Amino acid sequence: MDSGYTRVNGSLMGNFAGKKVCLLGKVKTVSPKGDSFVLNTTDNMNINVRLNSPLDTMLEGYIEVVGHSTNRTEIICDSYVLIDPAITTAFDPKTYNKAVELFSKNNSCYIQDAN
Amino acid sequence: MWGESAFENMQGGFLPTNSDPFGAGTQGQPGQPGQQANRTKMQNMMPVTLAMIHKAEHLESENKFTIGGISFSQVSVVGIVRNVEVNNINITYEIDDYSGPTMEVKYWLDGPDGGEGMAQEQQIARNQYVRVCGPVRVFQAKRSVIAFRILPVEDMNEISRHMLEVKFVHLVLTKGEKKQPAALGGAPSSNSAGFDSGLRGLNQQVAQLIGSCREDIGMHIRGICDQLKGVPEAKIRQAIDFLSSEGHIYSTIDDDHYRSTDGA
Repeated sequence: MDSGYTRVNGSLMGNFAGKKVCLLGKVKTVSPKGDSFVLNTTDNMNINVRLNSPLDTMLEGYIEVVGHSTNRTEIICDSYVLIDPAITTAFDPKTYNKAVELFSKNNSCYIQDAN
Repeated sequence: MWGESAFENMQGGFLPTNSDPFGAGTQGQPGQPGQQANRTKMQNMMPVTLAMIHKAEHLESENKFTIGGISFSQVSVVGIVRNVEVNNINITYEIDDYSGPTMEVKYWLDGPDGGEGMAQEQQIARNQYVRVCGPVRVFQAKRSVIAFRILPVEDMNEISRHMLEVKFVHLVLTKGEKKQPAALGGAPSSNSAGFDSGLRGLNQQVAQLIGSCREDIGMHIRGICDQLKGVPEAKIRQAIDFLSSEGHIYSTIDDDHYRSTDGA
């Protein structure tokens, strides 16, 4: 069965190097060429996101990126979802952060890569 | 219910018989494990991830899904809509919550609110977070969910909440309820019986101290003062008066010795 993307935060990136991850964060900066951008995660770490094709839209606010993590601070993005700002007005990053940490502790709730 | 089996085997319907496989005449009989006279469907809804639905064991004969031994009839899922296909009788969504493969979710339009519901459902667009509630179906080894309700997520916190709910329910069901620490009540009530006596602050501390003393003559007030250094004796006497009038403690050999009425 296809494995899923494990939800991570900045600090958990290290545990999932090379694996499929899902990262939620705020867009911090976008590179001038539009081929990468920096995400600020719910535990206040900056992760670089590399895109397969350059951006053609303006990115800001909360975004959810899925892809492969190359190392502790970088993801190669398979796809992203820009979160509607209307639903993030009361968003509590601390709760999300804690939920992610608890959720990723064992993989009974999602399907992980076979390796 | 009782009548048939009584006439069939002429034993009053009280004894288990082979002709009574549903156990309808054997309610309350020991030695009849696994036979449920009650055939009502279970109505529990479990918050799950799509991976859990894919991984769940499916009992074909009873059309039951189980995870870790716990069966459920309905699920609640939070995920992103990847695809929407509308036709006259239903809307098919493809939902993804990143836990594994995506899942097909069908919303039927012939329900009582099908007419008005459709206008609302058409507002669910791709790449939008939604919550789906409904039963799981299997058809030709492919699992899907029927959406009794499909609602757009209006607050991103629902995603955190759903993750926590899934994890919590999963842990509780697979590991069993852990004894809740008494401190959850808001004030520490570390009475060994785990019973919250409703006392707070100094009263509780004094009651606890007196309760911990197993002597027949009880605890001397001096002993209480020594344990609660920093609390003036007058306050301790006040607490003792209160506890005594409430019936938590009683005086023994004199007005300075008190014993607890609780427990052993």
